[in-house]
Amino acid sequence: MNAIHWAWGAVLADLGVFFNPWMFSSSLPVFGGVVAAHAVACAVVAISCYLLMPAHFQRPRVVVWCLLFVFAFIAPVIGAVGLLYLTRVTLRAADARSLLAVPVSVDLPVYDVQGKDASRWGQGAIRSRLGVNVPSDVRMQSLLTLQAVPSRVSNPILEELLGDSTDDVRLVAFGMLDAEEKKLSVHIQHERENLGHELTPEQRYTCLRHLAELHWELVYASLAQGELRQHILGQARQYLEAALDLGLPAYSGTLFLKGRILLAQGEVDAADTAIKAALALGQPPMSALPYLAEIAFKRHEFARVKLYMQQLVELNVASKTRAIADFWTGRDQVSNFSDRRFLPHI
Amino acid sequence: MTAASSPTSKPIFPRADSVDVLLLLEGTFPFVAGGVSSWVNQIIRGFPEIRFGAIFLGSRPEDYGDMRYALPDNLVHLETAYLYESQGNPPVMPVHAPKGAMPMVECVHKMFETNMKQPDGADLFASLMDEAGPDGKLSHEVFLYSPQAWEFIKKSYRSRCTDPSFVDYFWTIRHMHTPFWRLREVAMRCPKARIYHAVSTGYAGILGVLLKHRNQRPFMLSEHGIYVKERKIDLYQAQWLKDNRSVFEHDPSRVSYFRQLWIRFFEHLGYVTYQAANDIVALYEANRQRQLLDGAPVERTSNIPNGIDIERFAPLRAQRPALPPPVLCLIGRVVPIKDIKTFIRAMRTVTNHLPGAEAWIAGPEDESPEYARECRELAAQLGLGDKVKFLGFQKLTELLPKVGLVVLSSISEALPLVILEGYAAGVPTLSTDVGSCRQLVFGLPGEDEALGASGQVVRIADPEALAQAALTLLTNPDEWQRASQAAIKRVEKYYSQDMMFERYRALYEKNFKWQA
Repeated sequence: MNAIHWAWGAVLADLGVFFNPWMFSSSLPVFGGVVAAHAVACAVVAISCYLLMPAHFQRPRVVVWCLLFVFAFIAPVIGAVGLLYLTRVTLRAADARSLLAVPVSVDLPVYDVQGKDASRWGQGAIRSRLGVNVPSDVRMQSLLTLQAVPSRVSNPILEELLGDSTDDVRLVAFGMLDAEEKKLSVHIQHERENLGHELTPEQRYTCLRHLAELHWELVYASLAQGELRQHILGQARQYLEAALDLGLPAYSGTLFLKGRILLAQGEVDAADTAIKAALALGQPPMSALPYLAEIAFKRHEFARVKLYMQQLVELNVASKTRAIADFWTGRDQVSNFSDRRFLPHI
Repeated sequence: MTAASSPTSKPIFPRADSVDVLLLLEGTFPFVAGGVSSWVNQIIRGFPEIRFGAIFLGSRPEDYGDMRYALPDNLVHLETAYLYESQGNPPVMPVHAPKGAMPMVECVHKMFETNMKQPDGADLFASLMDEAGPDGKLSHEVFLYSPQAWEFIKKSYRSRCTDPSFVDYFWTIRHMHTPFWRLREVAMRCPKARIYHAVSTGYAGILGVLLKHRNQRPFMLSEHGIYVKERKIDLYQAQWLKDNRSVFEHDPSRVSYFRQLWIRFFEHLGYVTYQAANDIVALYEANRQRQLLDGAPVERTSNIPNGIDIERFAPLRAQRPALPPPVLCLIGRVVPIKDIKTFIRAMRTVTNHLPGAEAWIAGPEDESPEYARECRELAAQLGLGDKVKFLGFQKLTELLPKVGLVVLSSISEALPLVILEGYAAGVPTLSTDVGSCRQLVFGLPGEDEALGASGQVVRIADPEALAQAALTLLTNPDEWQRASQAAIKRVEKYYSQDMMFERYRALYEKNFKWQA
């Protein structure tokens, strides 16, 4: 039975005491008994109300409880009902606050296994300078600043700006994204044409692998969404599998790319196999372990995630992945830990 | 009216000594196909009683092909002027600027720099431009070879330029100002007119400013897109603009000096044009607001939406099938601004769910052959070689009855005629949220909105949203029919060409009576 039921039970009991025929008796022991029964009911109501209160109202503990008790005691039944009503209103307000609050979703940091540079690109600062309330000149300048930012970081921001209400911002964002996409498409077309020529198996392997990488880059740089993204992933996979089917000795990088494509397609088990095969062929653990950790995370094998992260810490990983590894291994709890700057919000 | 004799390689254009309305056209009719050109053609044909002339301003002759339109009978004068034609500069000679020339130049530049809103700014600028000829104080030779011009450029570089390269500054200034002498030549030789009517700001607008100043006749401006905005967007992305800042000077958040310089140049041209124009017409309210922001005096602005010949398309409604044909048709030039690649990408999703669906792209491909090739390659890359068909220029009356949706994936539009033409034939539209497309699909608040949606509107460059919206309309015959009915009612009630002609007739009549 929860606190609210105890409270209403006590109110009913209190009501029973006051409507009891003994109430009309002039006997002192009976009066003592009635007062004692009322006090017990009030104590139960006070405890229940105390437990139902939001935590920030519960201190100082004794004083709060005494206040509740006195309130219930001096106004028999009405005081208890009033208390429960107030508690209910308070709880509802708290519930409403939590319902009205807009949930803010923060994306998981992306594994940046190759970056050695610990500097951050100030995405928050860029976004804040692109807000709709910012003067248009500043917005335009900030937009142009994105040209100096890696496309992996800038493209999702540009993608959001395609829906901007200001024509200039929207069109410049489009132009920047289009230029990125065009660079890759030109290479894709070039390689597709190469594929039509007479090629040695080694040349064909290189060509197919390059095509897979270029398609993967379209996805990695957030240049395709929805079903188009799935289609491009499918093409990347087809090219890669065609390269592997040539029967040439597989390189760790090719298998690693296959693992990443499979992971992006949601084929967790196949991705795990491919990445482990890449590791066996010499793929540096520093780049492979984050993906294995991600796979373990998707499988809800959190102990394994921690294990992979521990291995990353031991490898002294130096990119932004370090902050994630520190979080999982508890190293970020160390007060004087110098790398806290990586993910200060965690 | 006389026919001008011309070298055999050049077409013979009609010539006249005087016209009623002289249209000032930059990069449109009759050498470029498109919405603005169609509108110009429509306006000339819509007023057979008015004798029109047209001056076509282009960059270089080799950038344009043959004429795309048969010239209407009442177009009695047509001439071309190429502002960046590689004709030789005047021969190098020692020359000095006449007294008073450079102070005028300085005064106008100071006005642009410090007090652009001074009331006589447009006159001051036009007076200066009027001196830019062999008979004026600022001949081309003076600009190119006089020590005074050289000193002025050096002084300006020292006081204003934040880019370290003087060489680039010098050539930018020369290149930027060259069209003014060409425009002055055009102004000297063009026929007399009762009204000058420019269809954009920019160089055409500036020619209008100069002609009004010289001849004291009214100058009208009709803008479809907003020229200044479009130039700015081009310039923000232009790769040809130099940035010579060293690593110590380079701040990625600051626009490079030459980019800023070109942007300011077109902003100033736009401002002067708005100040000089007697009437400034926008196609819809958002564009009018933008004109006000760019310096148009509010009392001279108005909106006149495009209109079409509904009777031409109305009979096509009877030819439509009962169910929506799974054909999505993009009617327009195959050029980057139409973002045809997004349409092709969207087809990947559409055909996944509706395997019989086809994308038709009906429009000329010769304006940007490289882009057209990229579009074909993209279709092949996405495995849509047999689903995406490039039809070239098509007769709309034959095309529209076979089409389920008119699609517009453009990144920028004004008030597209193809949407209205589709509506008149009963074909709903799927468009990106650009220009007045939202207004055309959902209507303006009030009675127009009550007619219901005549299609769908999606964000630009969002193939997924475009595909989902297309599927919603094509797979739901009831909704398609509702949209079709709303489209017919909307175009008949608000976008007939008679309404447009009526309003332009009133403007022309008012300006014919204008006295300086």
